Amino acid sequence: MNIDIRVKNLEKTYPGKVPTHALRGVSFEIKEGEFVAIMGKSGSGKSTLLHQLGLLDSPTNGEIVIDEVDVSKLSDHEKTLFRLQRLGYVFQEYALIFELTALENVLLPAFALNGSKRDYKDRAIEMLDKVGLKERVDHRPNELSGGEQQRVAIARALINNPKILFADEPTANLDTNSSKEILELFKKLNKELGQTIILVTHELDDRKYVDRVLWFKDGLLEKEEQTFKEISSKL
Amino acid sequence: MKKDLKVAFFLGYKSIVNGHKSTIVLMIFILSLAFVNLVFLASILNGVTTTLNNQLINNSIANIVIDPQEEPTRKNYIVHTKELRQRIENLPGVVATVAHYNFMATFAYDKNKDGQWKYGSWPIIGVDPEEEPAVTGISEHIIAGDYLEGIGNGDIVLGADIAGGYGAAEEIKSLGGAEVGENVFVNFGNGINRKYTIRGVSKVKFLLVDQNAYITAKEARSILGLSDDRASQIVVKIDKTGNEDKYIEQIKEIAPNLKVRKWSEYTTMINSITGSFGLIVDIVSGIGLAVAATTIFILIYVNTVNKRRQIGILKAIGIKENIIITSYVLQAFFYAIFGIVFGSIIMFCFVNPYFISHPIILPIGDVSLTIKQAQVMQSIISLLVASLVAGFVPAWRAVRENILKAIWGA
Repeated sequence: MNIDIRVKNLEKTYPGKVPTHALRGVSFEIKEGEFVAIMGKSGSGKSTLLHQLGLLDSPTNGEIVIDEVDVSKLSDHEKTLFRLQRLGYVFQEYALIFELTALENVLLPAFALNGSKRDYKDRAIEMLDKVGLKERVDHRPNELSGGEQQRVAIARALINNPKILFADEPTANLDTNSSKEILELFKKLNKELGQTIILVTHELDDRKYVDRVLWFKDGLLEKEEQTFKEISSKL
Repeated sequence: MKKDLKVAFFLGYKSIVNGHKSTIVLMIFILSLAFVNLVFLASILNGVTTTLNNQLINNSIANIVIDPQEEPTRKNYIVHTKELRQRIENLPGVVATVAHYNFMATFAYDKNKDGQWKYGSWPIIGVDPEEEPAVTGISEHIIAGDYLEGIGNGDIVLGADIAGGYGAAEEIKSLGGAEVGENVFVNFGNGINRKYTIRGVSKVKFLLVDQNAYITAKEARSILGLSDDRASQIVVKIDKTGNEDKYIEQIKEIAPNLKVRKWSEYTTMINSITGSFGLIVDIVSGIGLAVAATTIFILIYVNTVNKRRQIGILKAIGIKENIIITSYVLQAFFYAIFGIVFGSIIMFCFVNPYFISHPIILPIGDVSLTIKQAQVMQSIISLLVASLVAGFVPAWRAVRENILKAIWGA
C-alpha cells in the first residue's frame, strides 16, 4: 500500500504570554485506503493535528507529506488548490453555505475546480444519493436536520474525488442515530471506494468503525492501536 | 480567469437571491438615498444658479450687453445705434438687438390722495415696445394692466416691487400698492418731472428686474434730449446661450471702442453668487460623496463581516481568494447598480416632477431642480467606485484571515 500521509516531527505552538505547545514533535504515517481515528482527551492536540493535515493552519515546525507533496512548502494559493483538488474536509459544525441548496453546496467544489456546473450535476446528485439525500437536493441547509447537513458536507467533501477525507468530530453535534448513520457512511465510503479517511473523535465506540487509532496526549502521539476491525481483517 | 469569474458570479448571485431579503432591500434603499442626496443637493444649487442666469438672459440683459465707450474717454451714450444694430443683427446666429435707455429716477405716489406721499428711487429703462419682446420677456410677465404700446408718452409699466402689493421682496420700500390707471410722479436726475399713468405692472419674480420701471424709448429720449440714433445700452439676443464669446469678438470688430460683455460678466453680484454656489455645489457634492461612500462602506463591511464564517468555509473547501473577493465586489456592484436605478427613479419620477410643480420661491425666481447630466454621471461613477472599494476591502481583509479564525470566530 502507498503512503498517503507522512508526518515528521510536527510541532504547533500558539504564541501568547504563555505559548501553548499544541503539538510537540509528532511523527506517523497513514496508508492509502486506511480509515484512521485520532483520539484523545480534550486539549490533546487531535483537532490541531487535523487542521495541519487539512492545510487549514500552518505548523510551527516539522514536515507533512501528503500524496508525495511536501505541503508545508506550499504557498497559500497552492494550499487552496491542493485542498480543492486532493482533500475533503468535514467540519464539526456542518459548515455549509446557507445561501446554496444541498445540490449547489455539493457542486461548488467541482464547479470551482472545473468551471462547469452542468457537467458535474449528475455526479453531485450521485454523491447526495450515496449519503442518502437524493430526495433533498433542492433543500437549503436551514431546511435540513443536523445529520442531513453533515451528510451534505460529506458529499461536498467527496465531489472532487479527494485523495484523503478529513473529518473533525463530525458527529459531535448529532444525536445517537444520526451519529451512527454518519459513521456507517464513512465506513461504507472507505470500504466501497477505498477512500482514505482520517477521523477525529472522542467517542470510544467509534473505534469499531476504523482500522487504526492514533491516541494523542498533551500534544504527543501516545500510542497506536489496531482496532478489532483491523485485526480481524488480518486473520 | 473566466472559470473563476463564473464561480464568483454564481456565489454572488446566490448570495443576493437567497440572502436576507431585508438586508438587500435596506442596502439598496440606503444606496438609493445616497444617490438622491448626491444628485439632489447639487441639482437644487444648480437650480438657483440656472434660475438666476435665465432671469438675467430672458428678462433683463439678454446674452450680450453693449455699453458706451469707456476708454480713452468715457461717453454716456452709444451713437449711430441704427447702423450698429443693423450690422450686429446681420451676424448669423444673432436673433435680435434692442436699444435701452437707462436712468435712475425718484418716484412719488399718493395712494389715498391725502398728501401721504410715498417716495422711492428705482431704475427706469426706456424700451421700444414693438422690438423689446424679441429680446426680453417683460411683456410676457404683465400681472396687471397691459404692456407699453406705441409711443405711449404718458404711460409707465412698474415692476411689482416698485408698485407694491404683489408680494414684493422689499414691500416696505415699495409705493405701497400703486395700481393700474393711477398716476405716479417721476423726478429724473436732470431735473425733469413727469406724471405717468400706470399702464401695467410686471413681475418676473427676480428682484433686480421687478425693481425696474419701463417707459417707451421715445419718451426716454425726450427726457434725455437724445436723437433716435443714440442709446444708453444695446442688448443682443443670440440663438444659443454659451456661444457669447464668439459673437463678442465679432461685435468688437464692428465697434472696437464700445464695452461689450456677456451677461455673466455684467453684474458682479451675479458672478459672485454663481461662483459661490459653484463652490458650495463642489463642497456639498464632496461631502455628500464622502457620506455616501462611508455609508456604503459600513453597510457592505458589516454585511461581509457577518459572512466571515462563510468566507472561512469557502476557503476551507478550496475556493480561491480571488473568487471570494470578486463575488463580494460583484454583490457590492449589484447593490450600487440597483441603488442608482431606484435612486434615479426617485429622483426623476418623484423629486424632480414635485419641484417642477412646487418650485421653491426665492427673490430670484421660482427655483426647481437643474439636473446636469455630467453631475448625474459623476454621482453614478462615484457611487460605483465607492461600492467597489467597499466591496473589495472587507472581502480582501476577510480572505486574508486565518481560515480557522474566520470559521470559529476565534
